[in-house]
Amino acid sequence: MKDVKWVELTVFVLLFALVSVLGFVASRWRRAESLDHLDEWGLGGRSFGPWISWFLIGGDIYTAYTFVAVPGLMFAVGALGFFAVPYTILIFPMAFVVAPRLWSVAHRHGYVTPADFVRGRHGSSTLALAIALTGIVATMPYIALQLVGIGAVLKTMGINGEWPLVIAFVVLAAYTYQSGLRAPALIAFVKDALIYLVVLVAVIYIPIKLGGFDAIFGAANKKFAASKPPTDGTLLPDAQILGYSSLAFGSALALFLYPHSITGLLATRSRDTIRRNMAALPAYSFVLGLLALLGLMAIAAGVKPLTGASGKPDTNTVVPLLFDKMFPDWFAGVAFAAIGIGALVPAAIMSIAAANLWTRNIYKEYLRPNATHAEEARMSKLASLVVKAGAVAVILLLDPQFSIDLQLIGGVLIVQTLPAIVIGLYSRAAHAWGLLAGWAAGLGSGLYMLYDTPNPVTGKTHFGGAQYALTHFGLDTKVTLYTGVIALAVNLLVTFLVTAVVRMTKGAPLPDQTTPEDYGVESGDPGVEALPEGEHAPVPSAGR
Amino acid sequence: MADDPAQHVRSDAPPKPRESGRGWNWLLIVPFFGTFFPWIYNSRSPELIGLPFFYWYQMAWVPISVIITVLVYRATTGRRP
Repeated sequence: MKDVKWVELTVFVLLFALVSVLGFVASRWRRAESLDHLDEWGLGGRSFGPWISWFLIGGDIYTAYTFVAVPGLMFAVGALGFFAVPYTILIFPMAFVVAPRLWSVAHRHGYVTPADFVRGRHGSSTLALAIALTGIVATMPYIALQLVGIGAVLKTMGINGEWPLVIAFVVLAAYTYQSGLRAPALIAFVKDALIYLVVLVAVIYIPIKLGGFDAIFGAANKKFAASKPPTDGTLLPDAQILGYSSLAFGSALALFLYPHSITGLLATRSRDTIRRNMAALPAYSFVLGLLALLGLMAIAAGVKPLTGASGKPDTNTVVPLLFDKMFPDWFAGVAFAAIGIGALVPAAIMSIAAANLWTRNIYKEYLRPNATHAEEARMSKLASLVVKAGAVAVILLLDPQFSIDLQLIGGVLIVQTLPAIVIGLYSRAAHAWGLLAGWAAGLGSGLYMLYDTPNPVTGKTHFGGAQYALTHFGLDTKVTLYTGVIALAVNLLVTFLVTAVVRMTKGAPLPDQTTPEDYGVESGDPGVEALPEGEHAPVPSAGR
Repeated sequence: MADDPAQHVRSDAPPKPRESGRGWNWLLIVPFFGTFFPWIYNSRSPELIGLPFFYWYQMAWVPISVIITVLVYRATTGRRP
């Protein structure tokens, strides 16, 4: 341990210890009668107002992996990495319209997971199972990637063993088990305060030290001009333009379909809280844009990424190395803590969301239909431990590259739940069997295209990226499109074809638990706290 | 924005006025047109404090989209009792 940076490490450990204490204390924060109900443990009592939700949802979707991977991508290929900015600009106006409907119907019927809604709306537990499994599979590698974020920071501080990662996750698992969603909600305040501080200091201090943005872009242009592949640069090559916007658009569609994003949405106190948040959350996008520029600053600063497990340069270490190089030790420690704590918040919410899916849509649906609320909460708490242990095992036993591939696949997979959820929020135009067939077709075609994508830069023959070359469709062009968007088109086509066939053969219609009024209710309206069957009070229509 | 637990429990209270004027939602499509077509902003000039157009143009859409969303929120949210 001779190369350990002790000042940085001390600051890091102190801040880490502080949030761990917060995580345990959180169980007493806004205290409920008991945590023996999934609404309490898994959704924080569905009570978070606009401020807490802003921190929680922001902490949830802007993860540590984002903080290291987006600048890492900028460092490696340039302009393409900036897709994170239009991506987060596109998402919030869409969510502003759609997400309140999900909130209302979920509160009316006590839904905890997206699959709960799908089951109630489309009347098919098989479709709900498909949605739940997709959610779990897409979330698992995402949790593992949070470990990659912490690992990058530890490596930069000179700590190479695996035990510190394990300790961090054991502590995280313990307070998530204890406090449920209240833990990440409370820690999110610290996380964001640190992130904003570090980013603001970084984007003012580092460019001044490097001689301004002119010098930074000059150095970046020189690097990209010297490198072999023509796909990099500080502007987009023509062939990548469509890939850039389709990636931004597809990622935006995916974001609020991830189970952990929906957990954050459903934990809010009111429909109005969500609407306010969708207007206020883009503040994070601005920070993300500034962070992305750090990737180019690292080029100008002459950062050389550390070597990863596979023997190739690990671009995830670029931002930590830049901080290490430019900041005094104590502030670099603060910056590393910001990234490390930035990993804990989403990892906690993701494991809660995955555990809820398991409990509600597999355990209660198929294994113990009569499970009480207390049993549900207990099962979810245990499942959250299993999920985290699984994530650690994946990172320790497999090449981290494998998690990155899986996360790439995860984004393509989760978009395939869009028709069932988003179309479902507006109409029953799509039949459950059509949705199931479309889901399968979207998954199948998406996986095939990912398998069929080589990466000439890394020398991989399969799963080389999520940009599918249009030459595969017989077009004579270099243009690529985001795989998730193509697979979604296949999904929608099959969904409506099969729906038409089902409607023609006139099978018995499947039941729908919801009424049109359910999608517009606000907290305080009659029946928002799920009434027993038959007591549905009339609710004034929401204006359509 | 203070906590008002009373609002949460009062399930027999008269419903609050809610969103109206859904037509305003169409404004939300503006950020989409601003950012979805990189052809319009994939250039180096005009630069701003050394940042190529590509970068500061997209960053500028963050506050613009916030303003638009807040506008739509104000216009579609009924007054509370």
